[in-house]
Amino acid sequence: MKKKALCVLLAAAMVSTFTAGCGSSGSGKEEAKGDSKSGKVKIQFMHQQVEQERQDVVQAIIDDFEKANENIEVESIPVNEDDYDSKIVALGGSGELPAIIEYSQDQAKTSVSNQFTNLDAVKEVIDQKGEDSFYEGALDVTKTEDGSGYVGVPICSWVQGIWVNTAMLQEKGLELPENWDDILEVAAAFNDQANKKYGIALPTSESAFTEQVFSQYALSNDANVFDKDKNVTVNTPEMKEAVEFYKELASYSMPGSTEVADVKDAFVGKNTPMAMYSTYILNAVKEAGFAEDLALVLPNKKEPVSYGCITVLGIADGMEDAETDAAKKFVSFLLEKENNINWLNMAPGGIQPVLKEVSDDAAYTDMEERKAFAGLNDDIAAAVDSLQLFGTVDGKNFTEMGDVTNTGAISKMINNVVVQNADIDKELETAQEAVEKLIK
Amino acid sequence: MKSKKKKLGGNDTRFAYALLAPSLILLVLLIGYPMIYNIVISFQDVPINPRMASEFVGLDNFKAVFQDKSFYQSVFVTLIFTVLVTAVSTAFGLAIAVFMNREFVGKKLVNSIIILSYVVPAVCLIFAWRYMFNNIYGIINYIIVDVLKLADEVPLWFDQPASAFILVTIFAIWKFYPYAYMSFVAILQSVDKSLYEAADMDGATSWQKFLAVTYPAIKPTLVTVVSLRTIWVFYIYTEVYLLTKQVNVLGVYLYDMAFATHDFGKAAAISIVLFVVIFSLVMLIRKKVLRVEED
Repeated sequence: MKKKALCVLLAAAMVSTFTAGCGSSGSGKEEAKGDSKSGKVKIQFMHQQVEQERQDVVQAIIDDFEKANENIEVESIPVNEDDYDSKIVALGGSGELPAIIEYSQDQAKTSVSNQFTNLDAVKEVIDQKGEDSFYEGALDVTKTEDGSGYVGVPICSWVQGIWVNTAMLQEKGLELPENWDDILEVAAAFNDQANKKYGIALPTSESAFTEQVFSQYALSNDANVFDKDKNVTVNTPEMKEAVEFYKELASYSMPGSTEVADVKDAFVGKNTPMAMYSTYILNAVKEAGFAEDLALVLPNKKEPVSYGCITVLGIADGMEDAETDAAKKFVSFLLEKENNINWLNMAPGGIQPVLKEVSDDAAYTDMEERKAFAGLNDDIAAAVDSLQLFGTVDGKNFTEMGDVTNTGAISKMINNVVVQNADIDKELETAQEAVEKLIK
Repeated sequence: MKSKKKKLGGNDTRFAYALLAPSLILLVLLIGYPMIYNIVISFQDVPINPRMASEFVGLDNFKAVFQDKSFYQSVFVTLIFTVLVTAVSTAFGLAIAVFMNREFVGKKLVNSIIILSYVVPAVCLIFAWRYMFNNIYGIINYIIVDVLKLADEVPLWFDQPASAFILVTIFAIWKFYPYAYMSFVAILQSVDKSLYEAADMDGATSWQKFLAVTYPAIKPTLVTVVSLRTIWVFYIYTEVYLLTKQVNVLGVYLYDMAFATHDFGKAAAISIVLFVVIFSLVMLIRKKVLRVEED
């Protein structure tokens, strides 16, 4: 009998624990997203600033905002970069998206195609700030597919180009490269693979990084993945020319499938005078002691093209009006000059402004950690303005480009041609078919 | 008295079911519901946003899978990979278990070294291997080219399909053999030592002792180890995907074809096809072993 009673007790405990667990989850959600008993509007802000110092900066901005808006509470939700995509999909799939989400432009496009984003709210915030306040390149790549709105509110950016060690070039009496031919000339002059010296550091692995870098060469030769009518244009003479050039250039780079770390290590270790990388290389160069020798140039055949990522803030669709208003207020608050500079100062050198008024402001330029790169400010600002992306044509951003990147159709083509020595025509055909299949 | 006992027995059964009910309900909710839902969405085009309606597409998702050449290539690669890794890791684990089934100085240390590859997180091992075989500064290339001067150029280990397949297979065998080893060591310790002594007295060789004494004792464990390892290796993803992009096993195919584009309907269809394949494979293994047992 005692055993029976014990069994019943244990079973009851198990059931109550299970139901209690479910119960607390539901009430937590209610409190976090809806109106709390205090009458305040509570919203969540999901971002990728997971390091403690960055979280402190985000929290300080939130505290300032809450002081100025006493009826709004903002909850900071930092999420690791590696888990970010799956978190968006999981939260969106369960209808639990936070009110404000930090996105890359690609993530933002995917969220718009899944109808996760309140496009009207985003447009209102941008209009309120004024489209002229932003760099043109930053707004161009964040437009919606029909060009009538924006996939998110730009808050900061990073750009990518060819970083050049000018001191190494001077030793050989070479000038900064200005076009494709110059790049090849410099690369050939430094190439000595037997002694682990390379002309340039390029990515060649099947990865988004390879697609990003290659896109600069293709776009500078007027080759894009789509035309303005969304026809797939992978297999074109312009694209073929870009692939051939990339293959030739990669012969002066490290052997095999190279990735982010390989490119960065080769440049910082002075094994090469040129590397394709983002502004996130600046701190590593500064630590290596040659920040003053750094120059940024862009691949240029018919026009100079930079690649970059515009970080945007998305406002979730399907919320109560009060929550949407609170989210709009918070995003607008982050666009105010002082708050935007605080945000940018989280990673000096790495992230760059998208607001014109910030670039020249003393609070931004005079930061100690940023002074070493003061000479690059104009080049970086020009790169933000020269931003072009695969899938962005005549002010239209085709959301399918996110799927093209995710399946690696372009980077697989590059890897096969450069590393596996596959036939260029055949690979272009295969990539064309793969992309066509995706947009059906 | 007898009828009272029977009545009590019936009550006890009902009571047992009542106690089991919470667990059974949980099982149905956590395993049964997702399985049925998976079958349902395999016939649908499913949007991520729950506010958007799913569209019934009939057998389109299955057709897309069966019309894709790379699916068959992937099945072929996965079957060879599964057979090689399961057979060699099991045989290797068994051989070491038989060797270790004795007392010697430093046994605990050797034991720890053997299971090291199984207990260290896979990501650490994967990156260690990638650094070892790195095309620019890997120690393997350094030894081959700079120290031993066996070649002028470094082989691109993880960039060529053949070498990548061989390396991934070796990695998986090295990573997984300790599981077989631990399973066999546990069962070997329970084998009566007098059986080996009797075999010795009959003049049996080591191989004859293995066939007559060891094999019958480990057979149930062997079936379990082979069945489980077959299932696990068949669905392998992390180890292969992080090591190389040149070995397109089914786990990688599933990710590339469906999850990378959030096509959950197609992902569900692929998972059902894979379930049928692996279920048939495991049933075949069990049937084969059971038939041997009957013989």
